[in-house]
Amino acid sequence: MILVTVAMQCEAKPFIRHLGLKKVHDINVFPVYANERWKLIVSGVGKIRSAAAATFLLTRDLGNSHGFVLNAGVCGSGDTKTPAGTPILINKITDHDTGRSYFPDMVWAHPFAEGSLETWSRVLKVIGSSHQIDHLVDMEASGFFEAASRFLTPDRIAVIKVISDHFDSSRVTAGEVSMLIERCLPPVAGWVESISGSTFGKRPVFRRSEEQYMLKVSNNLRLTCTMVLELKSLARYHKLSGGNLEDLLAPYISMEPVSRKEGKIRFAHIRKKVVNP
Amino acid sequence: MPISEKRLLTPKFSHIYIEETVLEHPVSSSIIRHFPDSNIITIRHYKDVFNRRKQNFHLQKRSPKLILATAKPPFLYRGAEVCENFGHGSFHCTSSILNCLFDCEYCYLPGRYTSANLVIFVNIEDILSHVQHLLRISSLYLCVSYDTDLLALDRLTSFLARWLEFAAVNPDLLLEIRTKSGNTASILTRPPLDNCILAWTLSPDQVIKKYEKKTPSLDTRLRTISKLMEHGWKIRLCFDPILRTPSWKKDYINCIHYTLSMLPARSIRDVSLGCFRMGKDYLKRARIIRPDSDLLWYPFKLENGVYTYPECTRREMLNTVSREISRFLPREKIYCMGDFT
Ligand code: SF4
Repeated sequence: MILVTVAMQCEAKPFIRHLGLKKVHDINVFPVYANERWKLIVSGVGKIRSAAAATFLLTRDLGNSHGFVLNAGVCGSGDTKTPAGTPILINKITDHDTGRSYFPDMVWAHPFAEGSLETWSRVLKVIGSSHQIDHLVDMEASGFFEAASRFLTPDRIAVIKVISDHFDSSRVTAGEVSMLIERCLPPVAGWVESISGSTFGKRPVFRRSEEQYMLKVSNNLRLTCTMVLELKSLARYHKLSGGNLEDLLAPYISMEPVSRKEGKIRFAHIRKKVVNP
Repeated sequence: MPISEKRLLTPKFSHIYIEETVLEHPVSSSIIRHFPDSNIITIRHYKDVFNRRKQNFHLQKRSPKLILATAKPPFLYRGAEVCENFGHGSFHCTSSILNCLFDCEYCYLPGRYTSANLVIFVNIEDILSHVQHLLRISSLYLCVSYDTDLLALDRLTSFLARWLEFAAVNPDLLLEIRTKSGNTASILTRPPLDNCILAWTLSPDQVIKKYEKKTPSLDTRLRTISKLMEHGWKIRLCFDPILRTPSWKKDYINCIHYTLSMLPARSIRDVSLGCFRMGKDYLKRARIIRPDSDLLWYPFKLENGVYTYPECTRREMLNTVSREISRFLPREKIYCMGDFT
């Protein structure tokens, strides 16, 4: 599942349209929109709201470690050379209040410009002489990242911001925000789709039937929790070194459950067969 | 890695994280010059990136990033129990680099660090002056390539040249540099040193192909060693870790014959042997990172906090290997980690 957090409804609109998301009516804590593959939440403005929304979604919907979460939206930029409408993949987020920095893992190839972002707790309008900001500014990313990194590895978390203004956000209308995001959405959505499903050769070692086999044997031999773990570990080694797991466990499958003492003896046989084949 | 998967990833060292305080350090500048297309990201402390929680070691290993940082005291630590000290009392290690370009399945580094990114401590001069200070008090046996393969990264760092220069003027220092690399550029430009042990880890090609990914072949390692021997260096050979594969006996015997009939005995300083062993917590973490490794999931025995093969298995392996070696070399030249009769 790909989870997306945005701060404002005008940032959500392009996603809803582009991905064909439908409102999830049984959630009323935050506005949530979804299809089979994507789920989007509108957090409201600010890092605490963003953290709360990310936590809400990740707690409910993170079924497996292949999940991916994206914080998208607009940001201000101090760099006038980069025009409004440019999507930036964020490689460093600094919380202006705490000074703490967060780093998404930059392992995925991508077609975007990269930049560092500072999360402020208030709208930054005019840069006085005391502020040296030559990068990007938003109001959510640090809270989002702090929350998301509790659940996912930093390669499964991304922040993409579209430049909306150069610290002159009062001039940008909601309609313009939607339009800026809409234009960047095809490459952003395509990129997230392409990397979110990647498992990099990490396939489970056991088939479902083998898991069931081990469970049945554990029950039949009345193994303790520690012994169950050892059985799994022995079974893993046996399989990885080319042995047939079903052959190894077959004698203990269709038997009647035995006493603990008897189970221990039979378990020792299994261990011996694996260690000294 | 399949090409389609490779295309999804950024190239190695596409991003260089650098502590603000070492932005201007000459070693930083020289490393950065090697990567004109990389993104440079400034950081306050290397641990902000390196020690993040819940990192994907497996994926980072396929697309590692560089972190340039300052080493802080203590620069040296006592050699671990699982390491051979060759009878030296003052046995220490120092790490000017954390993590490795190679990818050995039996490596303890995934158990030790939560990240596969490479940290280079650029202030090598501080480590050297600390060692200099210690040498005023007593002699030192120092391994400088334990948490990495220093030679494999030497084109980037040139740290080896610094250590060799330092050892040349500090005879009370006994330096050990352990490697699998084929890179000898900075060694061949200077005369051999008696107080610097160059040590090559050797394994049968079957083991190298399956368990020592991204490392040079046995032939490349032997050619490199030969070159250095011709140059006058006496080399330490390490058959460590010896692995219990189905064909271990045949593979190790062949490998030993091949190696020792190729290298002149007089140029072999000594041979070090050891079976696979790994600290309990390290193995636990390494197994999580490699759930499909038949090597790591072997039903090892836990002895004094260290997982290794059962004693009788170890003895059989070490005796077999040392017997073969002793056909070529005197027994006094064979050092063995653990059981051996
Ligand atoms: S060469 Fe040494 S440090 Fe590098 S991966 Fe292999 S075992 Fe680990």
